[in-house]
Amino acid sequence: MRSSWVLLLVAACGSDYEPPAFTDLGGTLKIDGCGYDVTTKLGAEPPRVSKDYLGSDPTPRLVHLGFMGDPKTSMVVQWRTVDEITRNGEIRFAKGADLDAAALTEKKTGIEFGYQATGSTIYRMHQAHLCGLEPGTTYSYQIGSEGHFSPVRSFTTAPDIAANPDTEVVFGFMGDTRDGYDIWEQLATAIGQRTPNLILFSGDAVTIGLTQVEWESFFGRAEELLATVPIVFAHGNHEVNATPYFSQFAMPGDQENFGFDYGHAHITVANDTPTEVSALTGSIVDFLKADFEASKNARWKLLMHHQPMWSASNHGSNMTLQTAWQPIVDQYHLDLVLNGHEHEFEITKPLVGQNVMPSMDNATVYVVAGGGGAELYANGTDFWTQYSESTHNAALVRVRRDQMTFEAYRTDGTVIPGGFTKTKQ
Amino acid sequence: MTRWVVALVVTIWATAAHADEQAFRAAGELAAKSDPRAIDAYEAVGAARPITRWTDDAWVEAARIAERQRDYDRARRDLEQAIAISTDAQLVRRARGDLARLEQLTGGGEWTAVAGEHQRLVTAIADGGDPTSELEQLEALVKANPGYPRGVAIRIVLARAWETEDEVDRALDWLRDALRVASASEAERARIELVRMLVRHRHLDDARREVPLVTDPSMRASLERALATGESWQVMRWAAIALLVVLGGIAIALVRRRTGSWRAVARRFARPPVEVIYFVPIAAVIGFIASTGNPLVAKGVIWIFAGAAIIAWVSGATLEAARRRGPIGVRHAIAHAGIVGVAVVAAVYLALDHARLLDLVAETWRTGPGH
Repeated sequence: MRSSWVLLLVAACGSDYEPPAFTDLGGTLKIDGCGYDVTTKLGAEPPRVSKDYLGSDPTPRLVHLGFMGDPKTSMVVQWRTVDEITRNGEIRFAKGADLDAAALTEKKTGIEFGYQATGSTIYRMHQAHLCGLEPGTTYSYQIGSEGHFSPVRSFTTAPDIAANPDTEVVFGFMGDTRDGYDIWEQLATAIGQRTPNLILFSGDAVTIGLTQVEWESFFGRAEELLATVPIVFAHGNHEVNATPYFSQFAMPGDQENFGFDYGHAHITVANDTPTEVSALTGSIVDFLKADFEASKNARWKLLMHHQPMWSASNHGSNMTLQTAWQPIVDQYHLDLVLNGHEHEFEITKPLVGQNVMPSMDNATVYVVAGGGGAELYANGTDFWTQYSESTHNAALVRVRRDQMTFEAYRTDGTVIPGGFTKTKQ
Repeated sequence: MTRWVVALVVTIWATAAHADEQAFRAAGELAAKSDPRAIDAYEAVGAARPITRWTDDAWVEAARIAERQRDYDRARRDLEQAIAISTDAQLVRRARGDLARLEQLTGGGEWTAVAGEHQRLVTAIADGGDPTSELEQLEALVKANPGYPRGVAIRIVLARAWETEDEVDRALDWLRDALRVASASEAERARIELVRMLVRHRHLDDARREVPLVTDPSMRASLERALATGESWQVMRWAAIALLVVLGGIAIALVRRRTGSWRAVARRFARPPVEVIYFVPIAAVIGFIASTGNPLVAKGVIWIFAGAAIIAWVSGATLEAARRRGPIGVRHAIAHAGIVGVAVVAAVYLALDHARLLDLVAETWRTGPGH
């Protein structure tokens, strides 16, 4: 039955290409001109270069940005199509903000792969990888296939701080949206109004990572933001290391544990719910040490993962992470650790080990901003608490060469106390 | 001659840029200490000439401090300065966005004072202590300013805050009021909040009426799931209550049969049995320790101990009455322990439901204690 439909569609689109049957073993594809590979996991097809094959409705949807290479010079645009079987996808782009479609003179063919969630439906991810872009530059783009392109949108690459040392970068930060997508939409809109360079998301976008329906809400409700600002995601316990999670985000390295420079900041991302729990005290510790050592000269150092080392809310502090990870955080003098997991807002005083420090110099502030939409938890306070509140929230981290500012907001737009400015000579 | 002039201009500009950089950094130091002079320091860098790469950044930073201080007019003026002189496209785009947001926030200046008061009161409400006075001031603010663009958001804040204060009816009234005044785009948000609160507090008939009016299919499906869960928990709640009432009735009937009079029953239940004398001090210590930790869990622990103390009292009184008629056999003891176990499970369920911990327990059950 399925093959007859395929034949019908092939006839309709006039292409000789017959897509191979779905295989779920994953695979790797080298991306020309980018110097990296795209690897899909078990449960997904191997990635392939897009072919001339259109389904019944190739309209692009759920467009969102990411990056796998240097964010100064690269960007990945990701989308799906309404029909889920179209294999054709390309990007048209040009330097400049808010250009007309006719001005998008450069083109690049995309790649695509199918993946499975719960049920038998095969979802098809399209990606367009742009490399060799100019730093700190706005590009207009649209993606899709002939006759079925998305609206024109813009993105901006990360700035070159060597050329522009005064440049500020702004990170939107939030987490734990699951089942509260009306609130997520509100927060995404509010953060979007503040023109961030990058969205940092600390995990638990969905209740169960295998269920596609919630992913649709997550991407759909914030498409205006996520199609113009790249997102970097830390795996949360509710993503359950599922194939749909890995299939829908383009991120550096293995998509679980990686680090990258953005403006004057170095951001490290770690998966604190790995498939093998022993990794928490083994391979991830090794990764953190290596990444922190490699970035020890970075002006500002941030770590994002899901479960907080310090929290006075429902789950409390994760003592495994506090024991295994915090000594390394202290050793390398990280400035800020970003977490979710607790559905509230919480910020610590500057900490080193178990001690509250009199100043922020060489000390770390830990933030929980897990109020992205999920049902709220009660907040608590302990000796380390600077401020906590049971409220839906999203935050901004503004990074300049000599100062970093943190500020969080409620859904009504009011500022949550506890924000800070930290300076460095 | 021209070369000398160019060299002089470059030197003056470089000196000015260096001075601006130092002054910008000094203003940042003041901002980090929340020193009120920081805004003036940034504005001084912005106003200094010649224009350097730090000039537009200084105006932007000044605007942010002004907004934090709820001086929205000054924030707007500072942003306009940044936009006027900046050649940094990203900075200009961000400043224009902030300006538009401030215009929206203050209604072009019309709501500046209300927005400032809104920020002040919401911060005060969340700041610990008894928020009643600030909540009432916020209620007055929203009633006095029916056209305030963030009126629906304030009503939702009020509802959540009153709910935290256990004034559920007042909270629900504010959400219904939010729904009444909401624009078409805001109504969905207010209705979703209302349904969630109705489900949380087991006003399930009201919730059932509202759910079909939610227009977004995925949100409606999500709320239907929450409603179905709430209905199951409501059934279990009534079952637990019924079970405890029946077991309590059986216990009283048994004591009546064994003692022979209602007066004796009253005497038996008025005197704490030995189980309770041992249990209550231990429960009090554990309850006290729990109350120093997570307040939500502490509330659940205290309710569990309260229920357990009542069950121990009834169980002990029943056993003491039975012992008066001779030693208790093994089968009798096992049956008694089993029934007490069932009663404890029912009481724990009611305690968790009352403390609104069922979600957390269900999540821990599904995903493990570390999650």
